[in-house]
Formats: sequence, C-alpha cells, structure tokens
Amino acid sequence: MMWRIWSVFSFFILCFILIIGRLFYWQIIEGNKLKAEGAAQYTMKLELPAERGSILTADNSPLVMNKSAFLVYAEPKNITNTPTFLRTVSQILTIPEATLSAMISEPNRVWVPIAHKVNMDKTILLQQASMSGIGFAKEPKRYYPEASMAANLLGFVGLDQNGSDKGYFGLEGFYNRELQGKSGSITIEKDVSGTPILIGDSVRVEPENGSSFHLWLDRTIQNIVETKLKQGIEKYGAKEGSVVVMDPKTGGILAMASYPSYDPANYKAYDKELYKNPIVASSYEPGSTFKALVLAAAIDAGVIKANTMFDETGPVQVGEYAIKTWNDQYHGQITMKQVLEHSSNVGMVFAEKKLGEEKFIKFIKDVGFGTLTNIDLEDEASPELRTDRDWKEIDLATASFGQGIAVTPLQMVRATGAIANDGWMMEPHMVRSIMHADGKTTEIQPKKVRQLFSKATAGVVTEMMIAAVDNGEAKWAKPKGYRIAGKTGTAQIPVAGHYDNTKTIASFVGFAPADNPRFVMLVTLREPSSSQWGSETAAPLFFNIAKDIFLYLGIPAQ
Amino acid sequence: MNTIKRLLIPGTIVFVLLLTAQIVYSCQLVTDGKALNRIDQHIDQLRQEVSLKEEKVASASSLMTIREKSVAMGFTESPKVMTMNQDSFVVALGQTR
Repeated sequence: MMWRIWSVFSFFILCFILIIGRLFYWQIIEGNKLKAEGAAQYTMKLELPAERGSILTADNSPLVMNKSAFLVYAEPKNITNTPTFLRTVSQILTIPEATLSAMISEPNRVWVPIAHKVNMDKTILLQQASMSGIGFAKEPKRYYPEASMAANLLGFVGLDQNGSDKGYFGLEGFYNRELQGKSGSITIEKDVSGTPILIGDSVRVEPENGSSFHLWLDRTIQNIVETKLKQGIEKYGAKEGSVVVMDPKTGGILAMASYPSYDPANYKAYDKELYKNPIVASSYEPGSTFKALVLAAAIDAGVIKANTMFDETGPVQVGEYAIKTWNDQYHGQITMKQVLEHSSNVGMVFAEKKLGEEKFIKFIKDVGFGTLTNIDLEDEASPELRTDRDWKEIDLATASFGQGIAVTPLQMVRATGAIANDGWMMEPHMVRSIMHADGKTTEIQPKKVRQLFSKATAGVVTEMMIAAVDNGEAKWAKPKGYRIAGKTGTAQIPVAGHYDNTKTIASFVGFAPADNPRFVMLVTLREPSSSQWGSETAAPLFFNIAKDIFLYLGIPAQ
Repeated sequence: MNTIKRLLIPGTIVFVLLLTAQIVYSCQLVTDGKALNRIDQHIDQLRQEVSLKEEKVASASSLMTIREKSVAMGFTESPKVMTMNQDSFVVALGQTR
C-alpha cells in the first residue's frame, strides 16, 4: 500500500518539478524574448528621421538641400493581385518583372524593400494605382538646385555599411555628423487595428535635425569660375584645370572649381578618381609663381631690396648642374624687380643664396608647405616636405624658382594671400556660420595663422608683382585700367624621376585690385596643348575671370 | 437583510454607472486616437507641401534657370563693358558747383 502512496507522491513531485522547470524556461530563459514579442504586438515604434542640414552660399541660396523621396516596400502577404502588382510596379519603377517577382516570392518575407529614394512623381503614380501590399516610408534625398555646381567641394551623400545615409568627400564628408543630426523615435501602445491608445504608455524621443551651413562661397563668382574654366580648358587643350578664389583678408573661399568634375546627384556614374578635390588633395610644382614669395622673404630679411642689382650674364653653376633662364636669354645688370618681370631663374638663385639655407628652409615651413591648411574639407592632403638635412644645394636652388617642391593649389593661394593681406597668412575656410536646428547660429571667425613678412615688405612685393603683370609676358591679356598683382608659372611635370619637357602645369596666381585686394586667385592648367607657357594659357584665363569678377563686384577701371 | 438590500441596489447602480462612464470614456479616447492620427497625417502632408515649395523656389531661383529664362527673353552677354570712374568724368555730374 505504502509503495502506491509513494509512487503517486513521486509522480506529483516529478510533475511539479517539470512545471517549475518549464516556467523557469519561459520566464527566465525566454522571458526577454517573449516580452519583446508581446510588446511588438501591442506597441509600435516609429522612427522619427532627422532632416539632414542644407548647405547655403553667401547669398543664402541652397547648393544642397533635401527633396521629398520615399522608400517603396512590399508586404507580400497582403498582395491580392500579384500579376497586376508586378506589372504596375515594374512599369513605374522600371524594375524588371522577374526581379520584382523574385523579391516578393522569397519565403517567410513579410516586408521587402523594393526601391530606395523614389521621387515624388513616381510615388504618386504608385499611390494612385491603389494596390494592396505596397507601402511607402519617407526617405528624403539630396537635391542640388544648381546641378553639379561646386561638386568637388560639396562631396555627396551615399550609404554606409548599415544602409544609412553618410556624407563622403568635401563638406558632406567633413561635416557629416553635424549635417545628419540624430534620429528620434516614438513608442506607443496600439489597439488591434493599429490605432494608437492614448491612455497607454508612450515614449517619444524627439529627432535632432542636422545643422545647416552658410558658406563664404559666392554663387555668382563660382558660376563665373566654372564657366570660364571649362571654356579655358577647351580653348587651351588642357587635360585638367582648377581655379580657387579666396578673400585674402578673411581666408574665406569665394569659389573653388576643378574640371573635369562630376554630378553629386548621380555620383556612381563617374570615375571614383573625380571624387577627390584636386585643389586640396593633389600636388604640383608651383614653378615661377613661388618666386614672389621667395623674394618677399629675402626683402623682409633685409638681404636684398627691390632695386638690388644683379648681373644676369649666363647660366649659374650649382654643383654639377647649370641653371638657365626659361628662354636662355640674359639681360645683364637687372634689379630684383626685373628678375620677377623676366621670371629669371638665375636671379632667383642669387636671391636664395643671399637669404641663406637656414632662413630659406624656415621660410618654406612658415609659408605652410608640407602641412595641412586645416580647411574644412574632408579630402585635404599635403605633400611631404623633405627633412632639413635632406636639402642639398641644388634642391634649394631649384626650390627658389618653384621646382623640386610640391604644394597643393590651396597652399599656394593661401601663401600668396599673405602678400595681399599685409603679410598675414590666413587659415582658409569654407564655412562662415553654422545654423543649428534649435535656431542658434555659430559664427566662425577668420583665423590668422602667422605673419610671414611685414606690411612694408608686402607693399614692395605687391608693386613688384604689379610690374610683373604690366611688363611681363602676359601683359597683352591684362584688362586695361586695373592694377593687378600677379605672377605666371610654368612647371615641368616630374615623370619617373625626371622632368618631361613636353608636359607642363601652367599657372597664374595673383590678386586684385592690388591696392585693396578683394580676391586672390590661382589658375592651374595641366598639360595645355595650345602652348605650354602659363603666360599664354593660365594668365589670359585668370584675366578673363577677373574681368567678370570686377564687373560683378562693381569695381571700376581707373 | 433590508440594510443589505438598501446598500446593494444603489451600489449596483453606481457600479453600472461607473462602468458605463468608463466604457464611454474609453470609446472617446479611441476616437481621439483616430483624430490624433489624422492630425499627424495632416502635419506630415503640410510638411511635405512646404518641402515641395522650398524645392520649387530653389529650383526656380537657381542660376541655371535664370540663365535659361534670360536667354529665352532675348538677353545676351554683353561683349564689351565700359566702366566710368568718377575721376574721369568730363563734366561735373550731379555736383553743385
């Protein structure tokens, strides 16, 4: 009898243990999962996307803004008429029917994204078709009212590894975090029909929209520069070209253009090499455009004056190398001012020797070569500068006339800007102010980097540069009645350890009006075929652009 | 017994009234939920319209559009520009003496 009682008792104990075990499994082990599944049935969580900020020019015109677009998705279980669904969606979104069919036929898929960032017109057509099993979610895309204008400095918005928007290159890349803002969410209890229950619990996290950026960039100057640059490249048969215009007093970039370029709205259709902005990411040898800066350093050090005489009788020997003038012509007794006018390499070696190795190397560093300018663009890179002990006599000699030393166009225009700004070198900047989503505005103040030379020296070198324009090789192209300070440059391109005589980078750097500079501009043309000289290609293009800028800024001829 | 009856009847009435009020209130909240949904949808629609308008304004005021319109209206780029500096005026324009 007792064993029966014990058997029944043991059976109940076993059942009890099994029940406790099962409860432990559901409540402790699977508890969180079940809780989440339950919550999914009676709550809904909606993402409140943050709006990406806009990028505006100096006159508050948008270069980039947001445009309404939608994610089109399918809910296969709710599709009632599959053939009609496939035909309609395929026609409107131009997706092959077979692809669509494969997408919605995948087993166990309750939600299938069909197309991202579909524009408004197509979305309306799909909505008008009144099909079941199709849905739309807001997914704004970038819109460029000025089309591909300033593409190289804007960058573009693509997707990251999670499929979220991310800015790449230029301003979109540099300020990605500030532009994108932070998404919010709303979690609310719902009834069986999906309608929110007001007395239920709800948690709302507000989205933080991205900040908008107000640039120094002037839309009209940018348009002038882009139009003229394209025409110039076609006219002079150059492979590539770039123009950068900066306000020398603030460092604000007024225009920045490169050609060839790309369309940021359709960036995938272009070669990835075009994404980089050559003005901040590629290097070149500045050639004779560097001469004015070297002369400024020598004058500031007191080792030469504008009227210091130099006897230009023939090539100068530096070690085993003979340095000649660009046209192998020699003018005898000439002043330093004439050295700049004739763009004499021999005269520059004289000035460099007067300045001395130590001061010259220090000046190259002070002028910002070999270091980043800290412009607010993602793709900035700086060519390496050789170490102090690696400078040989011939390196210093060639560097005095801008060969054997590499810079970015931005470094060059920033350095020349110091001559136009009483010797003060400014930090170049794209953004003038940041407008935060809460309505506050942060102004970005112009930043002085250092004073390269005195105001008096800057004045003397400005006059020398004006004379170089008025009496130099490019005087024929200069607009009449304007005082423009500038210097041409023609640098050979190093190829596999030697210079190719047929390939040059023609450039012109200058500022105007010389007495109260409103802009400093650098024009570079890579391998122009009509003429290899800067005076016959880059200089006329510079003056052509300058003429339109004078007209736009209302600067009359004297 | 009578006391119990006297308490039970009004208690039942109060209970039924409260229950009815609760049901009516809950039903109203459901309606409010629907109204809230409609308001949210309306706000979304208005935001979309504002965004479309902004897009249209930006597009219409872009330099590309202005250029196209000006060419269509017959404007051409002036081939020669003449500027006059105040110092070079041959007559004293707008001066009292």
